[in-house]
Amino acid sequence: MHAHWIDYAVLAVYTAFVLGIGLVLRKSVHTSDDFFVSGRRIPGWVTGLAFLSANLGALEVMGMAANGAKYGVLAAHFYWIGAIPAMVFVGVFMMPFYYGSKARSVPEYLKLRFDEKTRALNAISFAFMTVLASGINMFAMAKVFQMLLGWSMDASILISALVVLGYTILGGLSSSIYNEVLQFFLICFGFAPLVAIGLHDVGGWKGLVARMPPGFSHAWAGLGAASTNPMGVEWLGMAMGLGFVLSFGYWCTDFLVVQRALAAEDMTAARNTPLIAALPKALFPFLVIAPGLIAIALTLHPLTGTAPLLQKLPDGTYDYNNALPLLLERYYPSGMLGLGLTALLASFMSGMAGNVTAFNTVWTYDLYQAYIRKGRSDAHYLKMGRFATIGGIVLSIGAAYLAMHYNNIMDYMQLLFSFFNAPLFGIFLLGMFWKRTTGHGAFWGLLMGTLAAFGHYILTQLGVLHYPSAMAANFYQAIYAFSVCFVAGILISLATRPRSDFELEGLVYSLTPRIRDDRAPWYRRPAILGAGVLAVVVVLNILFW
Amino acid sequence: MLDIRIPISALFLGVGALLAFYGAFFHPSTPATANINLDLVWGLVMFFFGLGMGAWTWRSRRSGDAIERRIPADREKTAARSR
Repeated sequence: MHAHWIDYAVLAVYTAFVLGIGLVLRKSVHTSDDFFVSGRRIPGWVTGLAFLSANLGALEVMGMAANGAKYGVLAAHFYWIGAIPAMVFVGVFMMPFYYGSKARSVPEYLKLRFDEKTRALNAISFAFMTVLASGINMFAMAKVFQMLLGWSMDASILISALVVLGYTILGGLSSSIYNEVLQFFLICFGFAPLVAIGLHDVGGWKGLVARMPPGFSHAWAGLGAASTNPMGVEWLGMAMGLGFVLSFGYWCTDFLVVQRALAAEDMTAARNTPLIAALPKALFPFLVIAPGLIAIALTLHPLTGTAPLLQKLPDGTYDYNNALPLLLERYYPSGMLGLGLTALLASFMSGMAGNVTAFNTVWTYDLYQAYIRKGRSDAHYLKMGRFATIGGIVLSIGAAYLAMHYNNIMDYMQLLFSFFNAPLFGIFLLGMFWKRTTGHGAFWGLLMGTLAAFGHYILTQLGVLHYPSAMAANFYQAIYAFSVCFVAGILISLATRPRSDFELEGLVYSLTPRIRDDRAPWYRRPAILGAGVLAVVVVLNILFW
Repeated sequence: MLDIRIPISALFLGVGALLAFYGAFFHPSTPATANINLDLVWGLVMFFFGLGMGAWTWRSRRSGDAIERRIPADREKTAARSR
């Protein structure tokens, strides 16, 4: 399909808007605090939607459609048990420490709670991971533009990188957050008609189920054994690997999302940020996974007179990554195609900008200010933040080419999380809820957990350990990394000297006064919001059992 | 600081109007959307969403809840913290 002038017009209007927003916001950026944490003055509903959208990059949108096509409704677990409980946990229990400690980043919290070396280890591994994630987003978008607009990969990467650079360098985190909120609405409006038309085309839900492989319409029914579901995972691996370690590891410790809550205007808004994000998150499988289900249905049982949608690869699998762009091409006329592409472009840019703003903050505060140039003026660090934005984007371009070697980009992302986030969550759990945890315990636990993940990865690659699917290997890798980190953290902490209670006030659960919410209206109380979202997820799991 | 609802409203008004105009005058379609002028219908839906967002902004500004008006107090809060 060739794009028409109207498609380019919609793309151009959106691009002009984001650059315009960057220009307007530039006037509000006077200090490094304005640039890196938006001066802590954003309302809760805005940080909430940004919290959701920062994670909803092109990687997520295209990767989840790919997962839907590859694994069926099982992919919804990445949202339901793989996100919502952790989002409720971070809002209700962890945000008081993050926001209350006035830390500007996750590594900075680690410095306050533990010591300098734990901060350095986390800052370096986070900077590395965030650049890789940003590169994956870039690759995903370039692929779509190549397919639907006929642009070369290099041109797509370069143009999109320049736009992201333009608005993040101008408005910093605020620009990034504003674009994420725009993206949320664009995704909703861009993909809702696609799902409606696709479902109608295959004969509704019943027609869809009839065209998909057996078991593709169930979230739990096939999880009794690894051999009875397409993901090759049994319920324990799913619940512990994805539902506990990977999910909590990502949503509770990844600075990319936590940074959005740190920009909130007050403690209540910060705590409600992940909870406001959780409700749309619970419903998003209907927008981003459903296209994958439709794609596999149209591939295995094409409609009369049409060719299978997804191309078969030499290894017998399908080119799942193209599920979403191919559906856009099939169902959207000119104009709507421009809207679909704009939604993808927005998700790509906000995914990338989210990573880049998190990277420039960690680089500037936790590496540059902490170890390279201490005690300089605020203007100096603001300038460094802008340079780091350029550096982050250049590194992301390099990472984009790495991502091309994986046939399912979501598997690749989970692999990264199992290396870095899974052990980090072990340390956070110990550090926030057990005051005896020491800096040495945290540092060595984190290091040993990450090394355990690398060791597991090497053994899997050598064929010593075998799993039915890459995803199953990732889940178990996360469980091992977390367990090694947790046990090592406890043992080393017991053998080393803890900090005094006085030093840990406001940083550890037992030494922090409880926050009372009973004066806020019920719809602003984190406990009530959290319970409501959990109830919605339970109902969804039962409906799609 | 810019109120985010203003660009959301303006973007949806602009893109919605563009799609509705294109749908009304060019009638684009695919085999699956032959029976419905998707651009026109969805363009109007987006346009009205933009109007709704604009109305929300206007109402809250009138009632003194505009995001910008909170900023002076926040600035003082931030300054006090940094002192």
